[in-house]
Amino acid sequence: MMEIYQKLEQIKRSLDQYFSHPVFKQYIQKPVIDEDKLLLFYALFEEAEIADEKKEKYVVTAMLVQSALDTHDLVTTTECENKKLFVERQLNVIAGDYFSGLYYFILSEIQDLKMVRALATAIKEINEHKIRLYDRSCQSIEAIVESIVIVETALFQRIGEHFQIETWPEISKTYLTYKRLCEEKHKYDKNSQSVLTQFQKKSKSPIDLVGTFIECCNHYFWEINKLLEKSLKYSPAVKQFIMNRIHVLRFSHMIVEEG
Amino acid sequence: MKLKSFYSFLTKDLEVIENELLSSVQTKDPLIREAGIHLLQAGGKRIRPVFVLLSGMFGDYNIDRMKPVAVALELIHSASLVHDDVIDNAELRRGKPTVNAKWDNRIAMYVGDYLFARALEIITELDEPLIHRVLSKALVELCLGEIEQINDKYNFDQSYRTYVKRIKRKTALLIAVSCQLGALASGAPESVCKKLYLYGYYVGISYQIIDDLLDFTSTEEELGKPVGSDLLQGNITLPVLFAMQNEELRKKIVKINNQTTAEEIKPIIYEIKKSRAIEQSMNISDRYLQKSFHQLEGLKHGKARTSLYNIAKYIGKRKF
Repeated sequence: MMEIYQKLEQIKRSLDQYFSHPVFKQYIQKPVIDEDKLLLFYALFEEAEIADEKKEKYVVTAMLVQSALDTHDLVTTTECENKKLFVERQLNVIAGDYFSGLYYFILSEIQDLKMVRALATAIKEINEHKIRLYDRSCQSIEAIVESIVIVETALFQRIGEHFQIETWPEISKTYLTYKRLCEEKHKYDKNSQSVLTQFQKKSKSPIDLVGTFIECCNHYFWEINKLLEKSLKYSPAVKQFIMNRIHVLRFSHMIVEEG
Repeated sequence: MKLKSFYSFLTKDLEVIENELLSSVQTKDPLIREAGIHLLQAGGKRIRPVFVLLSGMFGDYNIDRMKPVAVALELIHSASLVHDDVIDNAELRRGKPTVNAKWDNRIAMYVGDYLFARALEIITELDEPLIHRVLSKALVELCLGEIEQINDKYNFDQSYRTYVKRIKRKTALLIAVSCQLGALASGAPESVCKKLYLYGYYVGISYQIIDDLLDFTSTEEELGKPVGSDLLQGNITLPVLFAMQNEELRKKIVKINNQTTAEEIKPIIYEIKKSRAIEQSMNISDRYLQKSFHQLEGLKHGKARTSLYNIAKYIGKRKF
């Protein structure tokens, strides 16, 4: 496990070089690295049939794409009266584009064009579903969950297909969906903007939306537990890490009591 | 003469590109489909696909090989326009509401990202590694240019070199790369690819200088925005650099900041227009145009070369 953490730290240092353009440093926040996604990308590429010396580049590439997508989520929509906020918005637009350009550049250097295409397909799907969630065009809780699955996990699915790996994309899908559902439920409880709040405002359905949402959370909770038991016999350290994370999510967001 | 008349022999192939562009935004998501069609139908000269096709004629021209390059470059251009409109808080483009104005900034980000990803899906149909190295490097450079532009706003201590470097990244690079990739995709010899790259680069620089000039010399109706908007927004362009050679005018220009109003800037614009800066900038644009002609001289005679020559000449003379 220690070795994994050292490698992850090394990847974070590599990413940091891309994030540290002096102008970005001056005006915008450094992208927040999603530690869960970093670990899952790492695990996925470890299993892929690629030369050891290239693995780090692949993880960096996937994380650059993730950071590009996340950075564009920070672009504000309200009128910027403050000059600083306006520059911040402008640079968030450019930073996301810059990270996207870098992913293509790195993969072009190592000449894996199929991987460029796999990631591009995932980016396309993610943006389609981000729009559905954002413009509230999902017609049911199930449709919301379906969009969340794609937004959170399409990169893992497409990379998995590219390298013909099944286990890690499946674990990523179940775990990351569970994580996002917990976060959305938590936001809902705190009365902050969540997909559930938005849907509830729009929906005239008599069904118990919160209850249905919690049922979905619980479904993914049991699924990820089953998957970890079944699939990670040979990676006890990673298994333990994810188990701990699930525990934190479940109890810090109190899904269990309500469910 | 209309620009299109210089390459009328490409009409059929440009139709293929146009259809492919429209089908590339046929997605299951109605909003992306609508925004994509809205963008593509807003017009645009499709000058990048034209450069791709014409450059492809210096090699083994095959529309099936040209198509992914031309379509991808136009989609990348469209994606960057959508994001640029968010950066500039623009409400109109070519007289139509921008995606951010019609929907909002977030939708514009997602639509732009979708188009960019679609472009990469399409261009990766070609497995020529050099094409991807060239394009990906250019895309990174393009972003660096945008970062510089924001960082250099209201910075009046800029050199001519800084200006050229910035407009290279902002405009010239994608035109240069359109020419280079068209040639590469058709298997043209390396020396030809290089000449076409340089042709596109010089044309692009000339084009941007003219664009910067027109910001002073055109009318508000022609520009679709107030005269002198670039300077008001803190963009230091070539006419401004020349105007600042006059010490009196320089003193007035350097006082411009993000609080300056459109009314306050009017007398300065008038003085810049009256100064030699316009003529001096025009001369520089002309010099780049001549350089582009020079690159064409080394290429084989034919309708593609004549078209490239005429397009460059047209760009050099455009009034808006």
